[in-house]
Amino acid sequence: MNRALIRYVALRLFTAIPLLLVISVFVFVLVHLAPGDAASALTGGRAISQEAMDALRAKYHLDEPMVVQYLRWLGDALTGDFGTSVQTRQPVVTAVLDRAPLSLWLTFYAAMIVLCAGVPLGLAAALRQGSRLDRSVVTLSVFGVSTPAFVSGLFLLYYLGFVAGLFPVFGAGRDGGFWTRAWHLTLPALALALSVLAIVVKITRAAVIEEMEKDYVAFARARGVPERRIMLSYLLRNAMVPVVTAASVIVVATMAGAIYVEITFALPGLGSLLVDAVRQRDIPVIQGATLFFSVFVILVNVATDILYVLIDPRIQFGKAAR
Amino acid sequence: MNGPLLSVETLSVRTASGATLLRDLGFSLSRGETIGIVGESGSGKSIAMRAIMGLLPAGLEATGDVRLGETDLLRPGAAAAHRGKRITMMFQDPFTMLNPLQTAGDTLAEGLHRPGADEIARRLAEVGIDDPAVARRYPFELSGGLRQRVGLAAALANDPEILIADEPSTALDVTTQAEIVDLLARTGRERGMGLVLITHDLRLAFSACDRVLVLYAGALLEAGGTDEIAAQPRHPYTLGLLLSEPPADRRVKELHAIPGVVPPAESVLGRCPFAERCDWASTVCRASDAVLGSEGDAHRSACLRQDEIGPEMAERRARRRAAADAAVDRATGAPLVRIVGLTKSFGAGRVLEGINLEVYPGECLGLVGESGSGKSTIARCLVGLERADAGEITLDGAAVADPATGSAAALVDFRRAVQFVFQDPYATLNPRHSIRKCFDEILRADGRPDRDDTEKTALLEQVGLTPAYLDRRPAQLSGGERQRIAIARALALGPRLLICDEAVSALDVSVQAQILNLLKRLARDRGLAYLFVTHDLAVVRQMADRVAVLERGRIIETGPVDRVMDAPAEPYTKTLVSALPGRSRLQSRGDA
Repeated sequence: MNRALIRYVALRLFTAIPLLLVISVFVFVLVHLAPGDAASALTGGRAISQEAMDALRAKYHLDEPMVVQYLRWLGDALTGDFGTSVQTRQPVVTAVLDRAPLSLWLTFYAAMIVLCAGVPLGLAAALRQGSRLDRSVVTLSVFGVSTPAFVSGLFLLYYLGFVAGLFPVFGAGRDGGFWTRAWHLTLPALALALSVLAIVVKITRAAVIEEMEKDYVAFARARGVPERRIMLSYLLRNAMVPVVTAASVIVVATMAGAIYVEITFALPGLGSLLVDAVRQRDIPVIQGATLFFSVFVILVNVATDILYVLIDPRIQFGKAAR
Repeated sequence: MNGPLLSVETLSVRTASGATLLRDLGFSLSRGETIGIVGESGSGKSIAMRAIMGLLPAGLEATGDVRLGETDLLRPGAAAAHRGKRITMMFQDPFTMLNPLQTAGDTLAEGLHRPGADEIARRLAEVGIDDPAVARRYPFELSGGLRQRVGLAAALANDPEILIADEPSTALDVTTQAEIVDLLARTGRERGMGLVLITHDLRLAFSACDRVLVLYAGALLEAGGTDEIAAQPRHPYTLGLLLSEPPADRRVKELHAIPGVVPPAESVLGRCPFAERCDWASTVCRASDAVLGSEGDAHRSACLRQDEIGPEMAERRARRRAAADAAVDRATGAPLVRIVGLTKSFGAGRVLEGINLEVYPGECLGLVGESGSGKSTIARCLVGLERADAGEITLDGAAVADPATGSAAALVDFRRAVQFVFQDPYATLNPRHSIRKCFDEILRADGRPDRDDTEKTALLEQVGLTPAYLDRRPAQLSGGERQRIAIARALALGPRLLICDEAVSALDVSVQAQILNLLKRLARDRGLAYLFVTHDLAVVRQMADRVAVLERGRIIETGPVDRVMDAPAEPYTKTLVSALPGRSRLQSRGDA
């Protein structure tokens, strides 16, 4: 099992390489096709002489064909050099790694809230199908999913942060320990979580309701298996399979949602880095940050597939890859 | 230890809207006794047992008096308190009965007081599993028979006094079926339990039970000792069930089919539930209620006219016993379809190892074998649903290179000549298409658009349905009607060979007989040949002219049906034939 696991992970990561290449080409082409000129962004909009402009273009290889530019970037990237930011002169690797922890913190914090609240709520709603609890859980979660994260973020900021004063309204708590950090990031994570909570609630609810109809649940009751065990080992564990399927999508959606939330809460994460870079056509940063996102998505998917195997003995490594 | 373990009186089940599903059922069960509750789908037999267990689906309500010793089981929470400990139930399908995420050992341990490896091994041994490694396996790693044994062990874990088994053998292979039923009966005896066997198969109930209750449309119609009912059924429905069961030991010209379908219980209140389908029904049957309130020790029937019609019923049975028909050997001349050297593997597993087979024009070839023997794969390769690794299929002596890849023209001819009827007609009919649309699809594809419905009406007539069915959808039809539609659809292209893959195994006995008679008539009228793929040897005896027996991807025996079944040459065939439910006991009772 362990060797199979290592082989499987290695295979998955290996097959991710061509995917990353395709993504990098795609992003490169998209940025170049977009209107505007990288060189004029370099000057900060100031008018400079044609010679100075040409020199600038030559320095950043902007005068070469796109294919050559890409290959040059790729060659450097393979040695670990993703270029330097046009704006801040900071190496892209440093810029991304500097900002990434905050975004990852936020994403996983939000994902934890989603799973820890969504699964029990979905289970409770399913067990009392049609009750007032069921209806309010479903209504509230739909309300959450139809509100964009930056809107609910503003609400949370105002009521929980400003009016009630429970949580800080500014700052990421970077210099504090774990709890300071958690305290600072609670509102943004909550805003983020609210937007995807409904998906988990609905999937869990539907999956548990489906499980309740299963023969093995009736047979367990007929054998006198305690209700508590039926709920945990029968209903919940079997219902987890579709939830885990959705979990990878949810984590990725949360990461994408983090971009809005970071801006709403003025947090210096990857999202705000990326938004700034796009605004200023800082191509090396866009490339670097996008690739980082892609690697993250791939890792999340691999982790989900491993989780599958741990939950469901019928799924085996290699089969899940297909 | 006096008095019955379980006594049930006036047990009724209604839906939330008040529609009756089961009415006034009464019976009792004593220690060490096995009773059989027999009925077709819709009879209310499973609902009755679920009501006793307190496991009714939401929206159904049970009333009446169900006593487990001194306890009233219908009181809220009472059944839940005794489930597993004093009364337990196991279900039909071993493939869905066990939690897929738990090992057999974990499932077993749930009910044990001292779950340890030794105890688990001992419990597995009790149900005939001598390999303790089974405890570490997940359900998906076990065969159907093993799963059913694990299920039985789990049901018995808490040493209950009563075990209800709902169709415990229906989903299993013939040889495994016999083993499971024997195991249940033996365990019941050894433990001195009360055993309730729910089944649709009267022969099975006769072979395993002390007493039998016959349920129909939510009502008890006949009850009594097995020997008495087997010797002389006193309700026309019981007789009908007995007669529609295809006999395995000889062929009859036409199977006795009960016309129509089982009505909903609600629609037959206040009269004899069977009146609509009964040959002896008179005005009195339609005017007054005729169900048994409770079951006593004596043999009783709800039939209002049982004394008048007794001799006629006995006579019908005797006539049926005498009626016999011989299979005809049609395996002469040039074969219609010939399969040579068909080989197929799935992954590393060889499924077919060089199959040679011929089907002659107008003959019915029975292809029998247990699950996993490859019989369905042959059928699917024949129509190109699976692609064989090697081998040749010829139609009228002309090679059809490979039904999966052959040239378009050759394929069109082949498809026209060879059509397929599947086991589950519901899964093969598009639920959103009316029957009209379903037929039109095929006729149009064949370049014969049928604008005035004449062709479609003719198709329906051939399978005994009225033109009114054209506007219905599959969900509005009964199982038998759906299978008739599936057959009509297969006939639309005017095939010469019809492949029936377990085409009647999902149907109730009385309906099964209707469909078998229909297929026989079609063969006579149209000179149709059949490849009849089935696990049911009794059906083969009625349908097939020749039989091919398949074991693990090889044809081990081929020959005329009477020769193969009466004097099987291969040991495997002998096992199959001797495993027919209740065969030995029935013969000793001189049954139909």
